[in-house]
Amino acid sequence: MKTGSRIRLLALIAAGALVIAAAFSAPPSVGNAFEQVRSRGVLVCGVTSGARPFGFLDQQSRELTGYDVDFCKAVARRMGVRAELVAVSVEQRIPELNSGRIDLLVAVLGWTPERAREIDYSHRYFVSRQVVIVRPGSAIRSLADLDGRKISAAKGSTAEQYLRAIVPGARLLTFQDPSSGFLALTQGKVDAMAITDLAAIQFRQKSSVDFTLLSPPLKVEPWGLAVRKGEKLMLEAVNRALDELETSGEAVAIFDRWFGAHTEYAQRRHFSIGPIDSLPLDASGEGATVARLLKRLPTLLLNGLVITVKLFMCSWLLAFGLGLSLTVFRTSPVRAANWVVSTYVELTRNIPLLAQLMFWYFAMPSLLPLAAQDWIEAHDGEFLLAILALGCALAGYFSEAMRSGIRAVPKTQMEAGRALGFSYIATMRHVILPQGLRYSIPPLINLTVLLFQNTSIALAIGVHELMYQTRSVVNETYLTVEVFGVTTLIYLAGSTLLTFIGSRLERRFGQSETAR
Amino acid sequence: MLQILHDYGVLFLVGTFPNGPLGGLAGTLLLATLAAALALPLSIVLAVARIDNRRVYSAPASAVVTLMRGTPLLMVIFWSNYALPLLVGGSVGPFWVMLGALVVYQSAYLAEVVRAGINALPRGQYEAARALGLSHKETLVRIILPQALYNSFPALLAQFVSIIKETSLGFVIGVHEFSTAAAEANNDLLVKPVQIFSLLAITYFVVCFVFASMARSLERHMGMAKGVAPA
Repeated sequence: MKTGSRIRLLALIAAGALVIAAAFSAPPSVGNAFEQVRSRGVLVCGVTSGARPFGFLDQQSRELTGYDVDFCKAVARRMGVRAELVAVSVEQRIPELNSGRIDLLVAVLGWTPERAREIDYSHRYFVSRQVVIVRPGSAIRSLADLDGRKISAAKGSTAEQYLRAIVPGARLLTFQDPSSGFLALTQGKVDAMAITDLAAIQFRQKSSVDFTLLSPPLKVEPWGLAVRKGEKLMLEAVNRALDELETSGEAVAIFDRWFGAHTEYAQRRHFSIGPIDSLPLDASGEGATVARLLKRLPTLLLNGLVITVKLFMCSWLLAFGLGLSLTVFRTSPVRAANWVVSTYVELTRNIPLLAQLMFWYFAMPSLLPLAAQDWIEAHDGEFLLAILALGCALAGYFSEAMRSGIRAVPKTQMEAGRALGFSYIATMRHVILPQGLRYSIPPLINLTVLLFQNTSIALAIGVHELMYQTRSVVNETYLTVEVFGVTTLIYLAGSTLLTFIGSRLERRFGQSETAR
Repeated sequence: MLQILHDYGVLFLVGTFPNGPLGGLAGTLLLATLAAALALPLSIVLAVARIDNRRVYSAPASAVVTLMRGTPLLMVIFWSNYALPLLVGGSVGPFWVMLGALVVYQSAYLAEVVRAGINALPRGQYEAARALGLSHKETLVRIILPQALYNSFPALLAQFVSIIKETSLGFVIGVHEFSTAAAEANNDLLVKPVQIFSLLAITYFVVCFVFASMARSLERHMGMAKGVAPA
C-alpha cells in the first residue's frame, strides 16, 4: 500500500474512533433495580470465585460457596426472592455491576472514596484488616522500610490503592489473585505482600513457607455490599435486610460458620453491622486521588510505552538470533539436530503465548539452581522472564519463516558452494543465508509486528508495560474511552511504523519475484 | 502429575459444568469454534469489499482490516469488554465479551486469507465469466468465491489454530476456559506450578498440533504453501 493512502486510512480510522467514542460516552440509564428484582423474583449477586472463605469454588461440588455467598442468600431470603450467583473477578466486579448484569455485589468489596463515587455501599457486613507480610528474617521491619521495595498485591484490590497512597516509593507488582502474589513472595520475586489478615492466616496453614506480619496493619477497612449508583429503593431494601440479619443473630451465625472457633481462623467477630461512616482514605477531598492520577496520566502511559519498546526490542533480538541458529541446525544434514529443532518449533507454534509465558514465569524459575533464581529476581525478574518467554516463543516462528526462505534458494547453490571447496557452514554463511533471509523478509515483518503487539501479554505476569498501565489507569479513573483510545492509537502507530520500515527494507534488500 | 489429573481433571475438561458455566478445555473449544463460525462470513464480506474497485466499499473494509491488524488482541478484548454491554444494553458475560472480540479481530485476519485466495486465482477466471454474460456479483458468488474458499481451506484451518491459541487471553477478563481452569487449580494447590503449567502447555500443544497437522497435510495434498500466525 502506498504511504499516502495509508495516512488517509489512518485519518479515517481516527475519525471513526472518535465517532464511536462519542456514541459510547452516554451514561447507561438508571432503571429501577429493586422493582426488577421483585418482578423477576431473582436477586443476581456478583461474588468472587477465588477468594476463600468469602466466595470460592468448592472443589467437590464445584459450586460457589463462602461468607459472601451466605450473605447474598440471606439478603435474598429477607427480600423474599431467590438468589442467583454470578462469579466476577476482583477487577471486573464494579464494571459488571454497572453494566447491569448483576443486581448486588457481594464481592470482598472494601470501602474507598473512589469506589463510593462509582457505586453505592450498603451497611458494612465485614471489617477487614489489611496487613503486609514479609519473608522471615527480612530486613523490612516496618511500613517505612517498604520504600523502594517490590511488593505484590491483588490486582484492583484496596491493598493496591493503600500502598500507592501510604508508601508511594514502593514498586507495586499486582497479580490476578492473592495466591499468585503469595507464590511470588515465596519464590522471592517480591520483598513483601499486602493482603488481608485472613488470607495471611490461610497461607500460613496451607503453605509450608513461613512469613512474618508487619505491625501495625496497613489499614482497617469496612466492607459493604454494593448496588448501582442512585438505586435508592434497592439500597434501602438491602440495608433493611442486613439490619434484620444482625438483630436476628443470623449475621453472627454466618460469621461463626466461616471464621468461628471450629474453623481454621478461630476468630470472634470484632465488629457489628451498621452504616459505614468513617472516611478511611484520603479525607482531604473527594476525587483528590483521581485528580492526582490524571496529572500523572501522560507519565504513566509514557513509562508503559518505554517498557513496551524495551521488551519488544530485547525479545526481537533474542527471537532473531535464536531463530537464525535454529534454522541453521534445522537445515543441517545432521538428523538429530533436525529432529530436536523441529520439535522445538512445533512446541512454540502450537502452545498459546500466554501459556508459554505462565510456564516461564511460574514454573521455570523453580527448575533452575538457586543461584540462578536469585540472579533473575535481582535483575527485574518479571521483565527478564517476559523477554525470554516472548523471544523463545517467537524464535520458533522466526525460524519457520527463515526456513521457508532458505527453501526458496535453489539446491544447486549449496552444491556449487560445496563444489568450490567451501565447508557446509561457510556455504550457509556466505551463500545460502544471505539469499534465504531476503526471501523471508515479508513474513519476518509480519512476525515483527505481531511480536510488538504481543508484548501486551506480559501484563498477565505484572510487567508494567503499556497495556498494564492503561488498564490500571482506567480502573482508577474510569476514563475508559479516552485512555483506551490513546493506547489503541499508540499501538496502531507502532505497528504502522514497523510495517513502513519493513517495506523500506524489503524494497532495499528484498528478493523480488522477477529475480527468481 | 496423576494426582493433579485425578483432582482437577474434571475442572480442566469442563470447568464448573454442570453447576456453573461450561469451562476448561470444552469452554476453549466451544469459544474457538463459535468465533471461527461467526468470523468467517464476516471475513468473506470484508475480503470482497476490499477488492472492490469502488472506494465506498474498499476504504472502510481496508480501514477495519488495518485497524485490527495494527492492534493487540488484548486491546480489542478490553474495548469489547467496555462497548459490548453498552451496545446490547447491559448484561454481557465475559464469554460473550471474548467471543465478540475474537469475531471482530479474526474476521480481519481471515479476510486477508480469503483475499489471498481470491488474488491467487487467475485473472482469466473473472474475465471469462464476465465475457459469458455473468454480472460482477454472480461472478463473485458462483465462480470466484467457491474456488477461492476451497483453495484457502488449509490456510483457514491453520487460522483456526490461531483462534484456539487466542482464546487463552480470555484468562485476563476471567472467561471460563482452559487457562483460567489451570490458574484456578494452581491457586488451590499453590505448590505445583511446574506440573500444572506443563499440563496446560502439553494439552494445548496436542489440540493445536492435531489441527495444524491436518492443515498442513491438506495443504500438501492441495499443493499450496502458507504460514501460521502466532497468538
